[in-house]
Amino acid sequence: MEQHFNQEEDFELFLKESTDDFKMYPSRKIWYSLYNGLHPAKKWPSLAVSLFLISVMLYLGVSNNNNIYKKIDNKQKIASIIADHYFEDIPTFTFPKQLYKAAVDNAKKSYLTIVSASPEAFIIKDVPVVALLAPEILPAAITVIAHNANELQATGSEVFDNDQSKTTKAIIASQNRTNNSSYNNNDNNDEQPKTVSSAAQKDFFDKPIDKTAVNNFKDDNYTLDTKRWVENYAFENKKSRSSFKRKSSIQYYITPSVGFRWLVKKNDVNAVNASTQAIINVGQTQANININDQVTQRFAANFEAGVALHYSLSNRMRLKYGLQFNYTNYIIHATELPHSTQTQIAVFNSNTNSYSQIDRSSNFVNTINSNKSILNNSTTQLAIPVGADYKIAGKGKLKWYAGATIQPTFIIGASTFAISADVKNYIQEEALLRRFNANAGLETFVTYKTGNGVTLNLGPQVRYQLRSSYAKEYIYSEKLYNFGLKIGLSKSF
Amino acid sequence: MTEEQMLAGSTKNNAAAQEAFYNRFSPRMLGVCYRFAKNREDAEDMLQEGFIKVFTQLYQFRGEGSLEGWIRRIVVHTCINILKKNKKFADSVDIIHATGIHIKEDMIPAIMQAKQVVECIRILPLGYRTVLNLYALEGFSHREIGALLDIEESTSRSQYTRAKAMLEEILVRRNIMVKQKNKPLIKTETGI
Repeated sequence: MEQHFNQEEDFELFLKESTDDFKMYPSRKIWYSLYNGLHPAKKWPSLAVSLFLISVMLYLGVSNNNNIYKKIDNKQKIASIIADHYFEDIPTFTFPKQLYKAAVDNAKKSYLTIVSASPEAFIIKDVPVVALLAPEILPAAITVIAHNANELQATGSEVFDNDQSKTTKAIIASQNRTNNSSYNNNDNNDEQPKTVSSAAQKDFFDKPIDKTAVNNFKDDNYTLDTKRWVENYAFENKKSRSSFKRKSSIQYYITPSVGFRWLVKKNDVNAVNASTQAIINVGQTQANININDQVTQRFAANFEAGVALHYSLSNRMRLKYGLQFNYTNYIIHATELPHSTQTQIAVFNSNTNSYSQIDRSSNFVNTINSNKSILNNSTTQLAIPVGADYKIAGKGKLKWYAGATIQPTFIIGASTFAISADVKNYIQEEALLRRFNANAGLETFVTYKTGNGVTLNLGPQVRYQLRSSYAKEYIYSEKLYNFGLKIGLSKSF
Repeated sequence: MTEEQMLAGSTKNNAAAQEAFYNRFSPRMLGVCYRFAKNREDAEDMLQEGFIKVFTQLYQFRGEGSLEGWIRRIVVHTCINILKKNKKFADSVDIIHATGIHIKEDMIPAIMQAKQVVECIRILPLGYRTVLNLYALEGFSHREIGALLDIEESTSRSQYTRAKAMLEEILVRRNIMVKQKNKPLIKTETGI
């Protein structure tokens, strides 16, 4: 039937009628806190009793855990074994008898479907009957029940209906597992119950709770404890994430960039023997000439891509560490020779404690003519960036961060050209490369949190290579610079 | 135990009477707190503080009006005080920002019966939710709300108007109510 709201007050009346009867059942600890506040003198006895009960439960749980798999001779014993050995050490929870009987009656009519809120709680779809099982005995209980659902339905009422003084617990049957008839048909009564596969168990535990199941949960029929437990565990009990996961997120990113290089002649170049100095002087018509002016080089496209883990230390600061793949490149203009020529590179000789030349062959000359060649000086690196981000501003969906990282790197592939001692030729000499290096990065970026929990990150980044690309023996030091735009996607666990 | 027995026993600090008293009224009061709170944990904190005040001030109840109404007023004031103390109300929403809030279907949880309406109310920004709770459900006037929340009476009125409009939209999207062109909202039969 529809109700027409002709006046504004009707809407408010509707709200009031809808919400006036709304009840929620607080957890028991609220009353305990209140009680202790109102009766402070009686606090210690309740604490002592609680400790005693916990100790008893722990003892029973440990002692019974060694006896999980029992021999099951006949149908009658199935339920009694469950009742005697699997439930007696469970925290007591009283059900009204008619609630339990309804569950068993339903079980006899059809298979019940489990919908679970957590490994500790189950709600049967047809009837809101819940059971609390100690986690350490849960797999065994499921095993036994799962393989004997048919028998269990027939014997459950016999056991529990006749035993009204005991605290009653609900029997759970699984539709998914009653088809596994290998145990049911087995005449060998000494056989141990088979375990449910881990995939099936995972499916069992991870099923989302079907809250429509408790539509039939009528307030008037059940005790406060029942209602409180159902509400606390059925509705509110969710798998809790660990503290680490709550503070962590994973980011996938890519940073297209442009890369430059800067050459510097080493300061101790004066420690050069005469013959080497003569060769060097050929290439250097003026003293102290900048080597970068003697070569023709330009920037090229670079990129880095990786995955990083973020861990929040506070509302503003977070650590980050990850794994990254770098591609560095810059371009040298040269001219390819029709045939290779002899040249030298200047390297430090520890025996003579001075720089001396080593003969090498070269196919490229450091001049540009119509046969200009483009030499790509590229490396591929693996890096482990470690750093931190600091939130400068922002709230809610949009935030602004600044960050810094140090990236130890390892070269896994390279194609590089070193300049000769007389600056006239290029020599392909990967042996001169320093395999282990490190970069420093600075970045600032904006994050935007989308509705589906993914955060977009965008911002400029500067990366600087801390050590020369070349080994310390080489007369020139090469530093690489990168300017790029970092694009990332982050997601919490 | 009758209400009178519970009241008399609780006033004398009788534990059994107090527990019966608490069990009798706490479910409905937690429902009240839940409408104000950010989450269940906060609601239970409000409930606990509220009942501490109830038990310590129980001797002041003169029997004028219903006991539940008296308890409810204490609990509501406790909720407001906690929100103000935690600055959650002050930081929450101001009207200018709230108008830009976009309600998405996935914000509305799947629940049933009366809890559905309550959860729809809880989707509202804190400022809107508080004013709507106080005016429409707790019977405070806009002047009283202004004094309670340290806002202008006109602000309370405009907050309530916007809250109501937003709540109507939520209820329509959740199929609890149906919007017909140029006609008032219609409540659907199931609303679920």
